[in-house]
Amino acid sequence: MRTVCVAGVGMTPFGKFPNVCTADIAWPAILSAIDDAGIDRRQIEVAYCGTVFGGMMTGQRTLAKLGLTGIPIINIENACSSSSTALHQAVLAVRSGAYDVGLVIGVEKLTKFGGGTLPLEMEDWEVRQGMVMPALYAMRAHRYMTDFGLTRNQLALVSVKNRANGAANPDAQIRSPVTVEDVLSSRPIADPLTLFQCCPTGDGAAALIVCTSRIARCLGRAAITVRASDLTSGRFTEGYRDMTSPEITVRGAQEAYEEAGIDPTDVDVAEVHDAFSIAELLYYEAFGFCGRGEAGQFLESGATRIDGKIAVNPSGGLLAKGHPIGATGAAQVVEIVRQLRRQCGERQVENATIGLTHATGGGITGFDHGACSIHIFSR
Amino acid sequence: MTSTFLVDMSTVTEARSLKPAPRGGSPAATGEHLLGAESVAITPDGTARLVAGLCNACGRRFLPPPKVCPGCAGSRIEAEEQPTSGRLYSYARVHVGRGDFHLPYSIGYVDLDNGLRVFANLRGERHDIGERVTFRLAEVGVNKLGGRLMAPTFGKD
Repeated sequence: MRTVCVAGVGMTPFGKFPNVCTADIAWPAILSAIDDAGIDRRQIEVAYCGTVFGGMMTGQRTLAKLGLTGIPIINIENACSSSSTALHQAVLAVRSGAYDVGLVIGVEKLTKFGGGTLPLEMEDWEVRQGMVMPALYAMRAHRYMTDFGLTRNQLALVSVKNRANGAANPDAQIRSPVTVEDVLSSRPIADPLTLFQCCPTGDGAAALIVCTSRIARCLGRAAITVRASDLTSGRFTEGYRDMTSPEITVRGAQEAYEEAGIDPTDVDVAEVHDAFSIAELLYYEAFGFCGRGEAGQFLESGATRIDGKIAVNPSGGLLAKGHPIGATGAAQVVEIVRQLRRQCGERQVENATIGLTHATGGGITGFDHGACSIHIFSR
Repeated sequence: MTSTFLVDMSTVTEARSLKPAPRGGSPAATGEHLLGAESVAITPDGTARLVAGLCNACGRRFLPPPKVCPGCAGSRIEAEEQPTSGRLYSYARVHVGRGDFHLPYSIGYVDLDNGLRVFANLRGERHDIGERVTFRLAEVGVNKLGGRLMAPTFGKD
């Protein structure tokens, strides 16, 4: 199978754009990625568009604006893993030899719903009875606090770190730092999670140009190689499941490390799914960055700061950069590619050589999460 | 007011003497509307009980009772009355959530003694992980026309 590279990346700043339609949010990110890659847009042979609420044929509506039609266009919905799944499909297609150059798009316009929690599917058993995403994570937090002694202060420190990182990211939705006190006194959403411990509602888009390593080399810039592209779904269960260990991410991480031929200590920088403060802590453990029960201390030690042992969410993560859900997967890749190219300025992770992205989502009954997609990249 | 029975008892074998719980008219109606009615049945003495579907082929139980078994794809599913108490696995107190519920509301997972995990609204304002809680129906909200929203709940009272 052929080696695949990411040759171009682009994203819009994330934020609230109530007067801009989904397709108009997306196309600037695509032009930016094409320009970044240095390709002619006519070289794009296939496009994968990840979105949850973009509506019918979001890919086609968007690409029509750029005159990029008549090629296979696939629209993909996998909750928060939509554009990571889109990347996964593009990687498989280029690896297989079916195409040489593919476009990946991630776009979302959550401001179309006003505010409030993410609208979930009312057909779902738990959703009908009042389940919302912050509550699911709040349950994880309560259980983790009981089992491992995690404190509210430690939870708040996730937001403090990521908001500080976001302040150095011109594409982040929120660019103001906060203190532990600010975080704990912000509006209660689902105890113990307060507003600043929840990712904000917003809009945005990101795009990637994916191609063979040979084409990437011809384009003359540092080729960022895809070392692993993993996608899995949660295992439906009716009985006990340990909510302090996200089984879908644990499995996905093991698969991804195996595909890349690395172990957790090889990862220099990671963009993981910090939709809520507790999430990032659980993912330190799921990825093996620290041992079970140690996430709070690991964070407090500074190990996951930009200058730490394993920089986690240098972009500001979902908490500060924002989480327009279909766009997030691709946006994480934009950050990691820029980190590996050493283009991140103030938030550059020194000597970043191996990076990881992780998007997981879908609040549905009986699942840890519905989908999880992990990618590993190297310079 | 006529009731609409939600549990399709024709697929149930060896049903014990349980009657399905009435959901109560259309969602916008006044009166009572039972959320999660698919998992609730009324015993002969009129009390509400949680009902799961027990697969005769593989022995796993699911709530609400399915028509086909997610464990083995079998279709011989029996309605089985569930224990009325269990241990609270975890909970959340929701301040921003379903708009027609009384806010804030508590939801959580209860592990029944037979290994089945049940999602439910929780009665009361204070909760402790590991505490024993018991089942009954309770009001969780009010719809736009003033109709009561009832749901399966667990609590200490």
